[in-house]
Amino acid sequence: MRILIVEDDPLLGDALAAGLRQVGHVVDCFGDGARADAALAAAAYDALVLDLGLPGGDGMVWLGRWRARGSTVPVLILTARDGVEQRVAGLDAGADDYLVKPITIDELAARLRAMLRRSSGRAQSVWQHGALEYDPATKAVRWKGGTVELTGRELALLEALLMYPQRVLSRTHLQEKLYDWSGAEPESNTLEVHIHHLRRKIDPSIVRTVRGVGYALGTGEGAT
Amino acid sequence: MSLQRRLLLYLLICAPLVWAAALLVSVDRARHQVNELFDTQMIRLAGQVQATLSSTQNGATSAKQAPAEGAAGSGDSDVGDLAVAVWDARGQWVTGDREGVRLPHRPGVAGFVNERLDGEDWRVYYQQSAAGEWSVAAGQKAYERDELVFDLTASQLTPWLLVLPLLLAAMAWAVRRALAPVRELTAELQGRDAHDLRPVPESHAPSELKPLLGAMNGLFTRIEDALARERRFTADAAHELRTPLAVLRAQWDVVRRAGSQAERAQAEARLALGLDNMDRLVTQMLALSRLESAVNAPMTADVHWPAIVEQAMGDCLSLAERRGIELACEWPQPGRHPLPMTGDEQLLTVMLRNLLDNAVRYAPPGTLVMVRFTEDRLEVENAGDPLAPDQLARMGERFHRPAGQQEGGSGLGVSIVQRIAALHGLSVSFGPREGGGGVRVVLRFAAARR
Repeated sequence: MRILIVEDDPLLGDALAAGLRQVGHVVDCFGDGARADAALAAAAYDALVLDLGLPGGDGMVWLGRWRARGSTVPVLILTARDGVEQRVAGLDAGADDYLVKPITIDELAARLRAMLRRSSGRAQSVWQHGALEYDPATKAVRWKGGTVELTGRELALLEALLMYPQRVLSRTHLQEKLYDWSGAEPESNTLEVHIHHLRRKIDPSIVRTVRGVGYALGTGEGAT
Repeated sequence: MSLQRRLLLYLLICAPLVWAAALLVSVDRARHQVNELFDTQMIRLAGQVQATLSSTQNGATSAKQAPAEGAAGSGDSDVGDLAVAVWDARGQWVTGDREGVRLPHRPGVAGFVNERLDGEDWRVYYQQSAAGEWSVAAGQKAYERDELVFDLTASQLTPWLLVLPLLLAAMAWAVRRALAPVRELTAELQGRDAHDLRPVPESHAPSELKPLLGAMNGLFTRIEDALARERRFTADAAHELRTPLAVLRAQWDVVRRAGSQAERAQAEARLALGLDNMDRLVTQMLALSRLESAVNAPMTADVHWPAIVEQAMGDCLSLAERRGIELACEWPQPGRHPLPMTGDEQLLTVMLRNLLDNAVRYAPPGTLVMVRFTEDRLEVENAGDPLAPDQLARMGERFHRPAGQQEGGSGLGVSIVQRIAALHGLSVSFGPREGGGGVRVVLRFAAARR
């Protein structure tokens, strides 16, 4: 999952980003609302972790702006403000979840998964697609009952595909899900390399190529 | 002792004293009256005897009894209490009481004489006839008169003594009634719980209680303010501790999960940084909360500024080195005492350290932070960006940290500086340096203890 963190305390932002990267997410972290706003417009994030006490405009104001603009990205507010009325105001402003500092990375990751599950309309915690099973909590992938070992990037790619099983996803969209802006620019063919690995490790039919558009999840039935 | 008892005791002591004084006056009055009455009687008795003797040259037998009986008619007094005697020109006793005392013959004496006869006090009236052929004396025992005075006084005193318990009871009732507002106040205060610091209504209180109530309400207000400050501080502190705690938690999670040695080392370094920040925040909080209660700190020692500057600069040296900031101090001309005052050197060191720390923390790398002493002020300045008006307005607001800061801070430093300065009677002002750039803090004597 690609996650955007908006947190003005640099130490906390770093820690959250590092922690979420460890559990397999692709993370960008910004210290103020304006830059987060720009990032949100530039890339497709799956979730947003938002601090409220931000320099140059409160997090709530930004959230209201994004929601007014029609953005549906799931937002988790992470703040030191623990009053009930503040929680209510946060949720009413369009947040999907509200956490009070301090929290563990595990809990944050679990909340993000739950948010994502809801936003993608799933009820089960294990995503099922034909013969493919994926547990975002444990990152375990099973194909026809057998465990498949995948690297972090491969998992992120699979997750991005599983998120919208019916849609054809562009190369840019998939690439955005794989790389944050901190690292070096990915090689132009690395996406193809990861897709090749997925096909080899799971099943050649797992990813369909739609020429000129991008990629889509296969039927999940496997070759017969 | 209760007010009620005290008042009753005063009454019990004062009433008899006043009564005793009144008694003395009335005894004196009574004695005067009695003397006047009896003296008149004795003058008339003597006159009567002489008149009788003059009319009957030899009527000794009839002259002696009549006046005596007249005098004896007053109450239970004895016939022996009165005596009459008559002498002729040669001083020969002519007639008088044969069984009573013998009044002494005093030729040439006229008027009242106090005599002592047979061991008792007598008052005797002597009268000489105009031709000198008779000398008459009429005497009365003084005891007779005293008895009458005593009777008169006693009859006056008895109702007073009988009335005393009634008076005390009435007084007790009156005192109880008068003290009712005090009891009501007690009940009202006893019924309150610890957080109820509403002012006690003064309008219906008696005027004697009003100053007390006013003082009490003033105290309530001050306690309430102090409590509110404490509560706000605790709430702010709890709130402010959340972020550094979140850093520690998250960074700790990262350390535990770290896959590679390098990743672990980096996370550990961050964790240490987080701990440093936390440490700083808690230290500052403690310092401030101690300062809040340091109203009675000893402020009498002479302040030796060079030692303070040395200590404070030493504490900021590592930060200054890390940020590439140079520290300098400017003293007044030799022989001039820099900012002479008395105070607590330890507190002043904390103050200067906070000022230096802020100046160093928010100065651009490679610049100079200057401490300048003159005879009446202390200045600390750096070359940072000048403070915006809204920042200036929020200076000293607890836990407030201006936006966009890379350096971690507690947001308490300025509060601490202001508190210590206030304790020493110094005024603090923030502004740009001469020429507009940078930030300069000026501490000036407002009412410092010289």
